[in-house]
Amino acid sequence: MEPKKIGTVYSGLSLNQADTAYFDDQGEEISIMPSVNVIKIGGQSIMDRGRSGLYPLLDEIVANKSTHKMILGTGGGTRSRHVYSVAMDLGMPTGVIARLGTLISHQNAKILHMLMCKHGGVFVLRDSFEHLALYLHAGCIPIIEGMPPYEIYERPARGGRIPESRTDTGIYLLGEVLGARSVIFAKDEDGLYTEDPKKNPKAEFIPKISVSELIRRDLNDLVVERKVLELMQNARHVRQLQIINALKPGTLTRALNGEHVGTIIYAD
Amino acid sequence: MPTEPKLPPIESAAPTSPESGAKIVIEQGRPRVHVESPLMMESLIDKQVIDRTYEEHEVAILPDVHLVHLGGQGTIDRGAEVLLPLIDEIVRNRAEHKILIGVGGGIRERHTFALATDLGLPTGALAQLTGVICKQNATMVYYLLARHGGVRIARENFHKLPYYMNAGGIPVIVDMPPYHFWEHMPRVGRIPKHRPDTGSYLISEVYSCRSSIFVKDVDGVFTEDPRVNPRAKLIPRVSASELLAMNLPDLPIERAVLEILLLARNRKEIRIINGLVPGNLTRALNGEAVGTVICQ
Amino acid sequence: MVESSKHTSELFWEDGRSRLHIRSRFMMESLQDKALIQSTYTDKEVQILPDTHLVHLGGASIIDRGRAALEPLLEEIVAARKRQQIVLSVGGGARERHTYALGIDLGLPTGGLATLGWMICEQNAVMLYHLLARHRAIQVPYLHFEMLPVYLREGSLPIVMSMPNYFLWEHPSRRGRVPMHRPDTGAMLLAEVLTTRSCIYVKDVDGLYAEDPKKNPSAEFISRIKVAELAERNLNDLPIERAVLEVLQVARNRKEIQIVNGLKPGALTRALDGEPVGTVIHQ
Repeated sequence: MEPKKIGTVYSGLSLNQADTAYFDDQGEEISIMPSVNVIKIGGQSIMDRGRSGLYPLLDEIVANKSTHKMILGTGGGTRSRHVYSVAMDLGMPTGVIARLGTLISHQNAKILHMLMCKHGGVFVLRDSFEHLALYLHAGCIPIIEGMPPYEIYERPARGGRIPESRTDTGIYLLGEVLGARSVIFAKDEDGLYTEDPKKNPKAEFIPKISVSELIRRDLNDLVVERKVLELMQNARHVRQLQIINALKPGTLTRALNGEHVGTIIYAD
Repeated sequence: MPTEPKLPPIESAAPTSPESGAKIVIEQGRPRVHVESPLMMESLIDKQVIDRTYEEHEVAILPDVHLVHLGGQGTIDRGAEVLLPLIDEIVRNRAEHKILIGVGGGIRERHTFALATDLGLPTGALAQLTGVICKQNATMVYYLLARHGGVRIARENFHKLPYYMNAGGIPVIVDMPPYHFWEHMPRVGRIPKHRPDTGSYLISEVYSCRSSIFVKDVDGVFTEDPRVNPRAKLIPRVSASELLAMNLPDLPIERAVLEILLLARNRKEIRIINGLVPGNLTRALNGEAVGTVICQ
Repeated sequence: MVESSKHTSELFWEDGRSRLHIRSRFMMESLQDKALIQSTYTDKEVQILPDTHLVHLGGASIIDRGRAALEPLLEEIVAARKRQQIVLSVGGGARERHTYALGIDLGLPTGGLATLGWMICEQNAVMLYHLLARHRAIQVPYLHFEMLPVYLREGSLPIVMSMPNYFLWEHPSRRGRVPMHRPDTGAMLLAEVLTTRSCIYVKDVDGLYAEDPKKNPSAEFISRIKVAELAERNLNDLPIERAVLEVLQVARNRKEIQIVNGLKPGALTRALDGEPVGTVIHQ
């Protein structure tokens, strides 16, 4: 095989061309960790419930340890909401607000780590992601903070100042880049409804929906970050994700076994 | 206990460093190798040896710096309405005073403690979780101060404080002390006793700061809870031991601060002021009577 | 004395100890509600570094040209720094491209490529730092951005590398696998968040042309253009990343950027003095 030469092959080729044919997909993109399941433990929906919501779910995760490889990611919750509201009052831009949000998912990951230590829970910093394979191979459950690392590089949102890429996005993208087997969002609702079921109990449940249909419906409120939908359209590996009610015992196990137990959102 | 230790006959090796005169000493008969020093062959548990070290001169490290602690719940959680005027006041005073700003946690810190306690985590775990809340607050205060030379300094960079001060910066630090796994178990409950007030006070003591000012949302320490009894009186000056003896049900400052204040060498008084009142911080920086002074 | 009712700090367990909340305007919200998101918009964001210019040196266009292009340009920057506060930002260039091409060939995902491209940018920042060290340059890694105000105040010339930290979390592109958030975008985002006085892209072209000037020498030069119009024109190639244009469309603070030709002596100085040289793209 010819060595790659700078100058003869690529020089002068702009990366900003509308048609970057040369850099188009060539061959298959690899799956880095095709057998791992990435699970998001919701912040407001699970963590903020304390013992009553979290303990049974963690027991279920431990029970699945021998059959499934899992990476747990954490959301923020009410403390993120509080810091967002104080920061906005102080006039902070989106990038700073994203930086502040990161710290709460970090904190929740540390909490989860302490609870899971005895079952091989390891808290993995972003800089040590190269160790993920080792931890999984050793039968551990890596725990990561859900926020993506954009911080002050978070793109300003079109409407307000709430960062668009938060923990759903961070955890989904991690699943996608690892080429994970599945991405499961453990929340406290059965899945997606036409409206927020906490505000309107008559909201209609949606068991399965495509990303394009969901974007077309343009719902006023959603159980998952809109950014995830946008990103799923370009996904190479994780073309669907499932939102489940992790407060119902057994639901996570069934989801890990590939059953349809909540709302499946898929890229078409 | 002889003040001059009676040494057994010794053999001296050559001084390792001629300037300091430090010598390696080999005890005769008992083959131990010592380094000559006032504490040579002493037990460091011996009370008299410990006492001997008390009177020693302590160096004043940053004696012209005011350490201003911005309370989490009292100032930062209140948002723009309270914090922006305070930031303005800090900037106005920086020409005359060297100011180091420390920040506390507030309501998210309390939420974390409540949640972590519910989850059954121990004190040493709780103490590791809330530093990030102070970090969030420090980040916000930093961004508000950036155009006036704000600079956020992590603990590992405290040794660069003089540089940042001389370069015209206003350093912002996290006040939660890093007790982490090593936090002491409290007698009751599981809340760490060393929290941001304590961290702030300890820094002012170690650095011999010119003042230690706690900016809160109350005028100071009252004889009773002023919300319950409107006739409660503000105490302008009180000693830490008196205050501890009063055994008030609530205090605007962590109890650990009072306990440490009893033993202070350098920063022997602290001041609590109401940050909701414009001008209070300026008056406190100028050493005027405002709020409550707690002295040794 | 302020009577603050807006921010009363309060913790409470929702009915039957289900969830523990802090009272705030976002309490129990999904943060997806459109009206709620809209309510957070403000045009009064805090001014962070309003006196500082952000000057971005292109990787392929400037740094890869070596001494011939860099030496006069850096002299100009050092001279300007005596009068103005400047943060210097650097891009990647040919080695970044090589990394992407090789990574794609090996089947690496976009997030993997973004992680690798980052390091090229870092190399350029290191080189620039050593070139400028005697002129009080200081290389500022991302984690130390919060030192920038003090470095600027005391006369240093901070150098940052502008590949944004998207790493494994880089968004997959619709087509191809080249990361969409590269150094130009990082510089734009930095200028926007830090509310800098300007955002100047130093490249090896005068700015934008209606057509490729290499193919049509009489192509019309564009000295000022609205970002929406530029996006509409859908030019086949651009001297800056497309993501910059997307960010510029929703920017609150830094509402225009300028492309100047770093190979022309004096162009950057004039841009720093607020003169129109090159192409200004505005909201």
